[in-house]
Amino acid sequence: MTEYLLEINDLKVYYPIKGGFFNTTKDYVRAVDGVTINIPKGKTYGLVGESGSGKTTTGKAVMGLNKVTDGDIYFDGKHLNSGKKVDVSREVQMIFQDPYSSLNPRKRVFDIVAEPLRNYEKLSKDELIKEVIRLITRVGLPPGSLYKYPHEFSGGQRQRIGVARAIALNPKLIIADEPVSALDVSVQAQVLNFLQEIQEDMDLTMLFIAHDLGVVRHMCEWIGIMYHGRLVEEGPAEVIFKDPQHIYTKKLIAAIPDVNVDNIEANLRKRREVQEEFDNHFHEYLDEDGKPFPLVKISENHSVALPPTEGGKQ
Amino acid sequence: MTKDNKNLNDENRELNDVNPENTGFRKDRNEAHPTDIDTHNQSGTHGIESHDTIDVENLPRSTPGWKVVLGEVFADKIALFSLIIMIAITSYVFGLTMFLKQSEIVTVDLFSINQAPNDEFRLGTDYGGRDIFGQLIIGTRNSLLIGVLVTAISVSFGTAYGVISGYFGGQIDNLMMRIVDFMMVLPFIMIIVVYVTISPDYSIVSFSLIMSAFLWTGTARLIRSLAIQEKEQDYINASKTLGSSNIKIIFTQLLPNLIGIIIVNSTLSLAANIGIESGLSFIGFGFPEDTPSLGTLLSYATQTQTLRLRPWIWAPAAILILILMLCVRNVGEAMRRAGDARQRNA
Repeated sequence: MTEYLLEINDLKVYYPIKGGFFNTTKDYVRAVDGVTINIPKGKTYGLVGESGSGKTTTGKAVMGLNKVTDGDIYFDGKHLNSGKKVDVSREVQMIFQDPYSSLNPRKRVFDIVAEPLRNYEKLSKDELIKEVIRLITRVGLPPGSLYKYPHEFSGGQRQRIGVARAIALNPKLIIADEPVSALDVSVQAQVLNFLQEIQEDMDLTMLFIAHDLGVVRHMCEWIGIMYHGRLVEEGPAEVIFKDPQHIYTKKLIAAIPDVNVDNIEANLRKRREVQEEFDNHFHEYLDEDGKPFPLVKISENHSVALPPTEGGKQ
Repeated sequence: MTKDNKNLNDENRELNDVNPENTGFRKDRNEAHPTDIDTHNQSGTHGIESHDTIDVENLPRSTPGWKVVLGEVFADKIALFSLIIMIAITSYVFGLTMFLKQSEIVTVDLFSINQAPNDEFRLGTDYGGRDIFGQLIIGTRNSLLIGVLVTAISVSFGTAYGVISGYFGGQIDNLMMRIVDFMMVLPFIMIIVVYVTISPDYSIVSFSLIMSAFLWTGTARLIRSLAIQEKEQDYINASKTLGSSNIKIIFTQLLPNLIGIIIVNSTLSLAANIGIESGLSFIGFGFPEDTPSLGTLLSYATQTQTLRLRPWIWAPAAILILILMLCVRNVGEAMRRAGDARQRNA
């Protein structure tokens, strides 16, 4: 058994639907409904799924930004949602999806990046300025950006400011919540390469949330695919891409665009086939609530949510 | 499937090819900022080395806040002009009131009623023979004091209340807003009228307090709705994950983003509060005639004779209110811009 840095056991995040005369709870939106994720130290785990599948909710639950309905989250052996306040800000940090709303428009780069340092390190003014300059040059911004405001930067540069803020305290785990989905493709590549670089340098563990399988393949050693609040398939990146078992995964992989024009016909045919299979058989992969089945181990590290009748083989 | 895989690899390589060094990204940045501190190693991808090369003697410092505000006011000629007029009027009024005797000015002099401006009475007299100029000066002081006091008390209390209610939300918000609703349904003019009638010591301070007790609710509601909007923004979440306490988030993240609307709100309510004071004087429950204010002077205009034939009684007060409010607005506008880096002119 390898040592896991982050363990999420059967995480459930429900939001109540209120209604009626007394505004009582009628039902729940099951945003995350039984997700188990274990991330070994120094690895990148890619969490993929369509909008509304609960990826971001999972990430925010780890950060303590969402209330956890049920389940346990352990970071480095510490129970994060036991009800007692556990401060792991030093070790767990988040990179937010939207580089526009995640930076306070009224604050200068210096104040934004210095915020965690002011909270946790007792530094003199000079040391603080030096440290912030070190961080922003680390993420590839010129030191002259120090007293500029976020609106003076492009999307990619803003995301770098967000990264600088996240790595300021030398965290062990970074939750990257779709860090490049708001950026255009050329800038995406810059930010992704740069994230990998930082990860190697700082020996970071990352929970990488994305909806773009191409990006996830580029970044992650381990992939989990979510659908309607549950994992449908989980395994090492190569295995998932080479041998997808769940029909939803197959469809996602078939949908990745290809830059090679010679394959247009073949890809189109393939995509049609998968779509047809998907249309005909997808309901078999869901239980009566429209949720995926629990994961079944089909090899040592590859688990798929296969329908129970098929006995886990296909 | 293998074909698919190969394509994916192609795409992968594509992604790898576009990396920061190749795109000239950093080069562009350098060219765009010729004024950057040149002591730093900007060409390297890793800024670690530059850590030691920072010129310790000349660490870049930020501009202090008051300099930003002053710079903004000076950059806007209208605001600067307004500020000068405002300072001139207030210092003149407050300076002069030290030499004017209120009791002397408000003494009825039957031999000089309703005089047009002349050598003895620079702005004429009212129906009691009282000097309009003296009343105008003392009235401006009283009205300004009330306006500033009421605005300061009601806006600061309302802001604090609204921010707490909006930021914490849930049951706290529910309870706090029901209290506001209760305050809002009270007929506050009636209560002030009753208070004015029964209160034995009725001064500028107590009048301001009783007015503020009812006027903070509007600000509280406005600020609450904005606080609810702002707290959903990711930068507040980011601040939480960075380990900032709620108090710190409110003061350093939330309030700076509300400052524009707070200033606009204060500017508007300063004008409105002077108006309310005038309104109460108009119906006879403001200050008595022996405590002049801009409102009491204006309320002389309710007599048609005064309104039509003796404009020297009410016109100066009206013009003064207009000038003061415009000046306050212009300066407030410049301060609001200073609070928002995106709108600065300076």
